[in-house]
Formats: sequence, C-alpha cells, structure tokens
Amino acid sequence: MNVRRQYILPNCTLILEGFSDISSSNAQDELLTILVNAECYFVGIPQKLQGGRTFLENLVKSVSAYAQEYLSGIPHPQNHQSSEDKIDLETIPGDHLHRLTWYPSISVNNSPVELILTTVQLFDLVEGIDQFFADSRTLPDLTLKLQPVSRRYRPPDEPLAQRVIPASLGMASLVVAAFVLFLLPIPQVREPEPKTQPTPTQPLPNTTPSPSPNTGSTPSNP
Amino acid sequence: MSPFISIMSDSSLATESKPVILDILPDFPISGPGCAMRIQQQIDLWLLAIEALELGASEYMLQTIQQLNLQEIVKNRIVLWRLRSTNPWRRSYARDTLNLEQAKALVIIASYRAKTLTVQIRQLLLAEQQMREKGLPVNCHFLLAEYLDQFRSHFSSRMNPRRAKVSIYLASEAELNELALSLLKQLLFCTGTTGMQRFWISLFDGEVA
Repeated sequence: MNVRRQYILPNCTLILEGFSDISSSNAQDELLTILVNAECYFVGIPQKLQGGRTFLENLVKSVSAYAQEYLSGIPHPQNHQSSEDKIDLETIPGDHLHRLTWYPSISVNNSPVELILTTVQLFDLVEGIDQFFADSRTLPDLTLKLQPVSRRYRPPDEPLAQRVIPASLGMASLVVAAFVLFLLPIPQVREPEPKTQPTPTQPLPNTTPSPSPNTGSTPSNP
Repeated sequence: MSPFISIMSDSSLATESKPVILDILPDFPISGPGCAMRIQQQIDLWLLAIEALELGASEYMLQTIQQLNLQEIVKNRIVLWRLRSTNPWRRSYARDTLNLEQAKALVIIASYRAKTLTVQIRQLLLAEQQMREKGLPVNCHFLLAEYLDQFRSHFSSRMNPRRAKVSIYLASEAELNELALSLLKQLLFCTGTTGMQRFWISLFDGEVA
C-alpha cells in the first residue's frame, strides 16, 4: 500500500512517497519503510529537488551538517557522500545567502542544479528534515546522529595570512641582510708581521735579597 | 486519587535528583573544570539577543526557570546574572566558569524563550532579506531598527569597552548590527524541532577531542 508523508513549512515542502512492507489495518499508523520518491520544493523557486533513497540520505546529511556549520562557524567535512545525487551547500560570501548544488544521477540529468536559498528557506529545509527524523512512522531505519566536530577541524584563531606575516618578515629581513652583506667587500686579512722586540720582562737574577741581611747586619756591628 | 499520587511522586523525584530536562542535551567530555570561554560568551550573547527581542525578557526567563524546574541550578535573578557574567566580554566579568549543568540550563532557557518568539524572529529576518534585496540599509525597516537599537544599547551598557573585540563592535554601528543579525539567525535555528540539541552541539564544535 502506498504511503505518502508531507512535511510542510512556510517556505519549504518535503514529500516522501513509498510503501510499507508490513500491512497494517490503520492507514495512519502505517510505517513508510521503502522509499520510492523524495521531493523537495521551495516557495518561489521553480526548480524542485527529487530523487530516491540515496538522494534523501545525501540531502539530510549535507543539510544537517551545514546547519551545524552555520551555527558554530566551524566547517563540517563532508566526504562520505556517494557521488550519485551528491548535494553540496556553501555560503555565498557577503550576500547572506546559501547555495545548494545538486548533482543529479546520470540517468535523469547531467548538469548540476543550483538553488540560492535565504537563511529562512534554509532553516525551513532543516526543520522539514528534523520533523521527518522525529516522525517514527517514516523510514525508522534512517537516523541522524548529531555530533560536534573534533578539535582537528577547528580553524586557528588567527587567519593564516596573519600568522604568516611575522615569519615572512623574518625571512625577508634575513634575505635583505644577506644581500647587503654580500655587497660589502670582503675584508683583507693582513697577516701579522713578526716583530723582533726585546721581551719586556726578564726575570731578574734572584741575588738581591741575599745581601740584604748582610747590609742590615753591617750597622749593628761596624 | 491516582493522579494526585503520581504528581506527588514526580515532585519528590525532582527534588532529590537533577532536573530531568537536562537529559535532553547530551554530555560531552570537556577538558578542564568548566566550559570554554567561547561557549560562555556565545550563550550570553544569545540571551542578550533575546532581551533585545522582547521587553521584560529577564522576567520571562525567570518564569521559564520556574516552569522547567530549573530553580536548583538558577535559584534567582542574581544567580542568573552571575552565570551570564561568565562571558569574558562583560563589564562584570567574574572569571567564573560554567559547569555543564549550568550551561545546559542556560541553553534550555534560551531555546524555550526563542521558541515563543518564533513569529517575531521570522518577521525580522524576512524584513532583513527584503531590505537587502532592495539594497537599502537594514535599519531603515522600523521593526529591524527597533531590535537593532535595543541590541546595541544592551551591548554597550553591559560589555567591557576595554576588551579589544568589544571596542571594535562599539566603534562601528554596522558591525554591531551584523552581530545582532547573525545572533538572530542562530536563534531561528533554535526554534526548530531539534533546535535545542543543534544549538547545544554546535557549542562544542572544535572543542571535543
């Protein structure tokens, strides 16, 4: 039996269609366990995003990670997406907007699809995804684990350019000093000429103290 | 009879153990006795943005503390003020650190307040978008101007101008407006289904091993 779930936000609608492999009498409680089609629309954007399970998995992973990146300002690396239906999100610098790029699988279309989202639209997409994860009747096997990124990904407090300045100044001054010193003439080494000079000190013969007791004794007995 | 008994048992449980609501947010191993300065600063700035959004925000925060049974951690307004003074940018910076429970309590308060302000936050951000599309300065819109004025006055009266970063913000109205708007956008994410958790986890980005 076909099951259709919609998560409708003011700017974004997420629709998941599929069927349940366990038949239930009550249509409301029916689990959506096998996804056939996932669609995502934005109000005011004609282009829609659409795909199967891989598409949905990529969408939720990259959107969720980008939302965390947006909150903390620290990049969340996204290297575990499959190449099919890949989804990238990036901030457009200086514009307060976000660019979502979807690379559809080859069978549908070859060229990537780009959507420019405002922060409110981005939030509605995140919220649609969070509501889907909070809904235990839809794809219960798909879960999202939110986790902070490790210290390794933390950018240094000072930008690289600023940290490079002292080191490059040091290197530059070393180069300048080396160049200036290179231009200076090499001082000529003058060999010291050997000089014949009498040695200033000569040990005196140690004879003077010996007569002194004699001279001292002479007045006593003249 | 039975509902009465269950209420009694609930309240007795709450008094002997930590507030259950804290378990909504996961624990992360942090190095050192308290939270990093960046976390303390960020939480206080979020609360500051909430104060700029509604009049009497601190009273509403105290009411929220009562509703959520967080009085054990934040007993009164002085404790709340002292916890917020762990923001190193504050004039009244106390060189204290928040422990995980206190940080969680403040994040929960901020999220609950932000959720009640959802409509207002969305209105302001849509207005910002309109102004940017038209190429007009953001404070030409009357709603935005009110929020930005409030934020700037709270910021300048409470933050220490001798701090380098604070003095940069105080010197430029445009920079301070940008800070106020970026905090508003973060608060928008807080209003969602998993907003509180997203908010909390983002604080630890780059802080865990």
